[in-house]
Amino acid sequence: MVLLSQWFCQRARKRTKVFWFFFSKKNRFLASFPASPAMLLDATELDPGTLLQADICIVGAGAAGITLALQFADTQTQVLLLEAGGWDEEPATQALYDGELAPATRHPPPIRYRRRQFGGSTAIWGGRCLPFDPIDFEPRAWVPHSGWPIPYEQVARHYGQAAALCEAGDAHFQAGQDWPDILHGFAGADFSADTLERFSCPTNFARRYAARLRAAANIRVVLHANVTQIRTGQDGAAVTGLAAASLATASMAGRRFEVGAETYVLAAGGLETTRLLLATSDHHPAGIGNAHDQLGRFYMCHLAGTLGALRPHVAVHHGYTLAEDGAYCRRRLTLRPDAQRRLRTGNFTARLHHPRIGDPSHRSGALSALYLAAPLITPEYATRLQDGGRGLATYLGHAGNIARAPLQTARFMLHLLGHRMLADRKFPSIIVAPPSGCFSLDVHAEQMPNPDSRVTLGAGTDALGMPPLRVDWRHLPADIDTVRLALRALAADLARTGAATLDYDEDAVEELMLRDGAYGGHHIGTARMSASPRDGVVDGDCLVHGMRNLFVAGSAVFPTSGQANPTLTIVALALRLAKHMQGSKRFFFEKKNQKTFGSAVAES
Amino acid sequence: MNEAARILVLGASGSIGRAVMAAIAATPGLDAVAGLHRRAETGCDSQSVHADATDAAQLSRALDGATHVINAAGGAPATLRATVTALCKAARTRPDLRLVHISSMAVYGAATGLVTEAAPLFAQTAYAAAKIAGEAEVVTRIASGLPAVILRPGIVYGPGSAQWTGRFARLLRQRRLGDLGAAGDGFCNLIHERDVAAACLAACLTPDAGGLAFNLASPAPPTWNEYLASFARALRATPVKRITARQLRLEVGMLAPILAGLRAAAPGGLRRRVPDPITPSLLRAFAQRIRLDPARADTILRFPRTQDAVGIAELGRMMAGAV
Repeated sequence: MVLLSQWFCQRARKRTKVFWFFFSKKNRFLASFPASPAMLLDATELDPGTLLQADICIVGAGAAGITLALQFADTQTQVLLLEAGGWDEEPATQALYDGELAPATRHPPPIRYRRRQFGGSTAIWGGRCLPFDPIDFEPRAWVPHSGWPIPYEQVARHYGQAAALCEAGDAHFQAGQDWPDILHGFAGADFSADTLERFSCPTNFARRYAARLRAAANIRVVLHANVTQIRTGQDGAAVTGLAAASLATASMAGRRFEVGAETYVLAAGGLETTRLLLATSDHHPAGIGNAHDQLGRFYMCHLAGTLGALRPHVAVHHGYTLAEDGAYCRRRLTLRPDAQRRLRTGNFTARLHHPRIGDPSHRSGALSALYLAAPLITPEYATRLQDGGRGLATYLGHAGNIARAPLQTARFMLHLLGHRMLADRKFPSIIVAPPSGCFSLDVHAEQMPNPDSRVTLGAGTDALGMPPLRVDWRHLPADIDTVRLALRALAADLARTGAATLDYDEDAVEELMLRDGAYGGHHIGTARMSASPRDGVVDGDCLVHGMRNLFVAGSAVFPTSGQANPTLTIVALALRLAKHMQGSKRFFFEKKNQKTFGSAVAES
Repeated sequence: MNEAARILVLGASGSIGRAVMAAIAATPGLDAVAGLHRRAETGCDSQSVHADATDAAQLSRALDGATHVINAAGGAPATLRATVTALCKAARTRPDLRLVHISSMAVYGAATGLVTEAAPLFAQTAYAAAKIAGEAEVVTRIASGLPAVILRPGIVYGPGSAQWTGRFARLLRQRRLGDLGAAGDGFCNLIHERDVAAACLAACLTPDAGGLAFNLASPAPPTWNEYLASFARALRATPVKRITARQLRLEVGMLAPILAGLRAAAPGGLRRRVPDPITPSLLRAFAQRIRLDPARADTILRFPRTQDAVGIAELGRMMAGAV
């Protein structure tokens, strides 16, 4: 639903362009201070064979890459931030993300739910910010391959800054007593309603932080810079350079250039980083960091879906509240850690949701208006609208809903206009109180690490000669058990407290959870963090096992998926990585500073 | 401490002037003389002289018996300039008089990054030009071997600050400022007005300070977004509103000229009722990534500094409820 709303906003932006022409961004009063234009380069304008050099080269300017680069702004460290795309989505560039799907996998095409452009997938994300829970980091006997090699606190301490960068307000995720109850007075034995989810604007990291990157004299951002090879030395233990290229266009040949740095960070996204490690090495035929056949395995998304009929017996507040800091927040229902231990499940969360949009029996004109708009919506956002059939009776049912409630529908559309289309901080999703009084549950569940769920290289090559990804995403019966057991516990909690009645068909849970397949955009675990190279691809510092100067930033390193959306933790881990790199580089930079200081004294 | 110190404070009724007067009054062994224009008040129970600060002869009389003079006089750019010229002229024949001149971070123009006192000066506005010209007069005094100190405070906030506190409180309550997104990523080089006052006293009484300029600012300044958000929260002007770039363009491009025109045209009593304009220069400040380096002041002046969070919370307590 968040994605759906995002689509409306994008369309609105286009429509309102003319209206806002008068206040165009070229307005001289908003001209920012002169930044060095040279700090934002375009690979298509580089001389062929150019060698770009820096102390640190970051591959990928999405949430992780931009966060990392910002931590080095205005320091002595020279940073090169390579971005494969341009400012906006470009079909030819986006096509480089195309890949294969294994025959039986229920996974969206790899070209969807991610963006090869400056800002990465923050150009399309929904903005939900949640921290991982401590239990997600623990080795759990009932979750094979679980446990992170680092303590939770090492990541959690960065959530404050991460939330600020995501523009999600304070990193307070515990609901105070003054927060409206999701179900009045509900306090379950197994389920808690005391945690908050917070929402980013949603912030497009490129639009938000480009000026800061450009203003930093030590950072160069290079657009249209696609890495095509990671060169390693003879011993294979260090990256010696990158080969990169821009895509050829109808009017211009592609440019090939080289990059040299002391340290490299792959921050190209949960799938693309792994593709680069698999595909681009000269001395590692199986891929860099893949000495033990771990690279590309343990691919997790989340299981998500809308199901059930929840009839409340108490007052309900399922919408958003603006926190004092200005961010939209709301309570949700989470499976308590002790219940996860007792039931031997993965992590799980649920939110009160409007009924399934496609079924006109919800009687909501607003939801029906969304349903009828589905043909205009891109597939990424329309998936959940296509759940009620497309027959004439369905269409008539929806049209009837709109006709019966024209005022409600108009109010809804006005709200959409004011609080999403024209707002910087967008109302996070569609919130409609169902006239029938019957809600559904929006469920988001952990997927357990599974070595057979994996990405590999497919056949053929893309326009730059790179092999595409082949995605074979799989789920385990235990993933479905998590949902089944959690729903059972929730239904019992709701019944025991008298807050609501939850009805659902337990036999249909698997089909409902898999109807939309792997949750789009959450690409987790393909270069997992592990203490030993036998169990993963990077160590606790995100350094690729067996390499001296190659780090990975992003959700590829998460060993488990938890219930949380990944972006906040991606940013927190990037902040942690920056601290680590600054710490380990201290000697080098001190040496450099001493040299500068020494020469200044000598000159004076 | 100099037992015989007798300090004349020009502009003693202004926000910094009042803070300086209070600081002097709270320091044993110091004698304050408020230099006032016409019938202005200081709010302090201290001796005062009335003088036109742009008139060297009147200033010269006011300086009689003073061992130090702090120039905290405000006014339009031309007045600022004339005041320093007159003051330097009046002080020329007083070799023992230490002159402490309050300049501004505006002298650094559009500079970005960490800025020390050695950075080049750039007159981006008429105000900055007046401040630079004023500094030049003081530098001439220093060059001729006479004692003087230049202070360059950043964003001076505090209960007396109409510009950076009162105005912002109104704009935040009107939801015309808040979280500005990328437009508010500049650094807000906060300095509390009582810290500026403490720095003035340190500049008077620290022998090593003579002949130097000092940046006065927080060592770890917040961004403007952070300052505006914490001030809004302290004022309980919440939830902090996200201001779109479109709204800012509207404010600056259309509303500001209208409001400025109304202010100019309105008679005295009504003028205060005209909402504050959000000016282009304010918008530039919000985006300017400049950090004043306070290291020299920390090393030499060593005055007590109010933590930003403490100062803002204190302001909030004072102003919450007041409209």
